Amino acid sequence: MTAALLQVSNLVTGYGGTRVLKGVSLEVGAGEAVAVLGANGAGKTTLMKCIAGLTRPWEGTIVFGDEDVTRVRAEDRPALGIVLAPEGRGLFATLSIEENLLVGASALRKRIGARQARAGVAEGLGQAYALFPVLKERRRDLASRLSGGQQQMVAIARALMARPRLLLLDEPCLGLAPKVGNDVYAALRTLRRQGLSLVVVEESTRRALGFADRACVLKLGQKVLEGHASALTRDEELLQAYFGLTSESTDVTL
Amino acid sequence: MTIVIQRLLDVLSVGSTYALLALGLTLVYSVMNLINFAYGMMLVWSAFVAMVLVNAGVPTPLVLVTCVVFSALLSVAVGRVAFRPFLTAPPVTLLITSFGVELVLQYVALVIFGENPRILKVPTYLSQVYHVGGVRIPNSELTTIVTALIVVGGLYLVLNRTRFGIRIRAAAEQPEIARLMGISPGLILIAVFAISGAIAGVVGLLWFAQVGAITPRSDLDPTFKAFVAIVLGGLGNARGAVVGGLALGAIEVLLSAVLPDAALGYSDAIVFGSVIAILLWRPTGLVGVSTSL
Repeated sequence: MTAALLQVSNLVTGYGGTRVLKGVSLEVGAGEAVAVLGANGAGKTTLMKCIAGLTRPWEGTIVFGDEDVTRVRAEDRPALGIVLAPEGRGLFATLSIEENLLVGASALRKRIGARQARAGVAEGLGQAYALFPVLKERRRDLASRLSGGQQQMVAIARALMARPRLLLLDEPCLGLAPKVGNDVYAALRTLRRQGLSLVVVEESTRRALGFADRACVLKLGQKVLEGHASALTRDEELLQAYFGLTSESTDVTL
Repeated sequence: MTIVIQRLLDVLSVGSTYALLALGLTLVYSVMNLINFAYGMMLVWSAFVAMVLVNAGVPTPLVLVTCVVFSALLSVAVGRVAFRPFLTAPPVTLLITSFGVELVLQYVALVIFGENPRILKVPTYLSQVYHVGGVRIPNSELTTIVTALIVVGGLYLVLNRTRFGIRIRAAAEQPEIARLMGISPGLILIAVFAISGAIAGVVGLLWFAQVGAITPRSDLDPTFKAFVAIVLGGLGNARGAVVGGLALGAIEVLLSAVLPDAALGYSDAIVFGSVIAILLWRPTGLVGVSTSL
């Protein structure tokens, strides 16, 4: 892997007095897709929140491009190109779909400059609707009235409005039927082909390993395994046995 | 029939004053979960500024603009200095802070303007009364209703048709997610305090033009009316503020019309009783509780 886009080193953080991450490192190269796996409570979401800036690291550094962003506030990170589509989708339920997308473009002026931003918003909407045509039909509907799969589409499209260089996705298939989850991953593949760098948090391994270049496994706040996705796929039984990970999407029962 | 129209006019006039009051209060609540008890002092200060300017012979439109700008700036200063540092503090901290701000603004006003009621001279055309059919239409009521329509309409457009307004709504609903989209909570706070202050500037003039006299201690009455209106309508919700304000106006006007003279002294208590009864029926308010604009 050449020139890492994101370099997370020895991250330690937690909530109150409880340490959730105990020295986690993660590297994402430009154009790379990395899956972060692990059971419930392993610290995957906390890691994402740290990279997005919502959780302050106690120790360790986060370098993005050639900038140390460890202390950069969450609201300033989208302008740099780091965008998180959070766990549970986090749509603005009282806003329409298009309004949700427009909010996603809030940092665009800082990201690409005021002059480009005006055209960039229209372009972003066009791309979002091209990626997910159903959203165009329903763009005036309240986000709360969509199905789970459509809501996830909005969450991804909204994150894309900021023109991310690195897109973080926290359990994009949570609560979705397997087929819908496949649709979500089909869209992610399209984005990856366009050169976007991605980090995907997943509790179910098979789909994530089928998608990512590399994967790492977190357990109780520590990285216990890392490697090429194809190699880890061969070890899937091992993953299951040691880490309680499931190969079928646990989502179905959620 | 004319009596019905007459009462309806009164309801609209009183109700739209309350609706405006409530809008200013609910905006700040929606993004901060704060009932800002210093809110009424913005009205008082706006009225004092108006009094000074009117006495100095400044023309009415200029008085209006100055009061709105002054009140917005005062509100922003309060938001920046007193509330911004406590953005992540528990609501109780903010509540206590707002009492502190209220006292500070009140004592400064006491030092400058003193304890005695001061008269806000109102342009004579406001006391004109039109007669249409058998209905009396005081110009002051008409002005109040038209002002409310303009402010409510303007706010609606800002919140729904501008990028910045949409961001305010987003931040009100889910502040943390809004941050992930690059929306600065500090900026939203300042914007919301500015709008709230500007509304307070307008409604302060309407309120004290009707009351007639201003004292530094006249702030709690409008604050409480606004508070009751937003609880009645649904906390933190612009539509709820308007509905709650109009409903509170309707309750007051109708009760004062039907209550026997002997009971009028207790009308505030009876109004509150009715509000409580409505809340027992709809605990989340008429429109429903949510921190959405």
